[in-house]
Amino acid sequence: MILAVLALLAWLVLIVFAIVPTGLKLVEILFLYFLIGIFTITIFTILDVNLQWVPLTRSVEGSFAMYICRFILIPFQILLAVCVLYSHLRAKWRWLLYLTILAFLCLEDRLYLWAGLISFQKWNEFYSFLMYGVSMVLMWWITRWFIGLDKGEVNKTCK
Amino acid sequence: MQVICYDHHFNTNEWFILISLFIGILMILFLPKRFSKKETCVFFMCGVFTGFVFDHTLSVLPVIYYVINDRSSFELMDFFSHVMYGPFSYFFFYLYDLINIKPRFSLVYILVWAFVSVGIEKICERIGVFHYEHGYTIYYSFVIYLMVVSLWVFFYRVINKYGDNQY
Repeated sequence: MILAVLALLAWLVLIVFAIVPTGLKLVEILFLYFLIGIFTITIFTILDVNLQWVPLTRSVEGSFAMYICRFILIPFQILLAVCVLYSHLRAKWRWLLYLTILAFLCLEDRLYLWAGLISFQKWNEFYSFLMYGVSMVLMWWITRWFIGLDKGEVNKTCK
Repeated sequence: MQVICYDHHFNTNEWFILISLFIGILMILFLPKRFSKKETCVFFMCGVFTGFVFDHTLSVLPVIYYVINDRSSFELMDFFSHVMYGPFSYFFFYLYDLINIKPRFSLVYILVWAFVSVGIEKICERIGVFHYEHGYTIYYSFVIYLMVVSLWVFFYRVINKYGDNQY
């Protein structure tokens, strides 16, 4: 059942992502998605396989559910948070929305725990909160750098 | 969880990864530019992301189909071996753009790159970058390469057409 629940959640996140104007170009969205995806996969693997602080389930359904988390649910929510932080909203609203997305990510962690997809060994909700929070801000900084990358660049390519 | 270990030394597989990564990045820097900086980053990251997705899907539990480098746990050299896919994907897009492949010849281009990929993977397997497990063979990789490279062609067309559109 958890596979269906997470697929539904992922679909809802994708709907929100498609509706909300991100203010980013497609090339920027793709770059960020790749970067966040790599970051998420690396953190998951290190916490599970290397440190064994957050072991993942080894059941087939659970593993597929975790793929949905790693490739859709978490990256797209971080991407949404980055878009919010980069938007022209007032600072108060930006940080409020950022905290809302952060709260959703932490709530989803509770769901994974409840479903037995992950278990916390030397880890807790506060560490998750910190990890998601820091990674969102980090991605926001990288976005600012990446958006400014082509600024002032005349078409120097040899096409 | 038991960690599978093949080797403890810094030897051929590590040198292969570092040297090919170094040469790949040098070539990206010194080849005549065909893409904007953003496109270059995206085309590079596309390969790295693909490597991460497949290697962290097929080489982790519930079924480990292959072990990358010396141990089944994630090591720094594994990270570099994923980054090694970056120059590979960049050259794929670079040549596709340079030769200006028409859509009807894309399938031929995809097939050539699938064979090139299999060739490189064979070398990697011989020198210990990949260790196949549970009956996995390079023939499965060939099918994966055909799918991935086809997706890359689609990706190139999307970036070319809609890359600068704001959403």
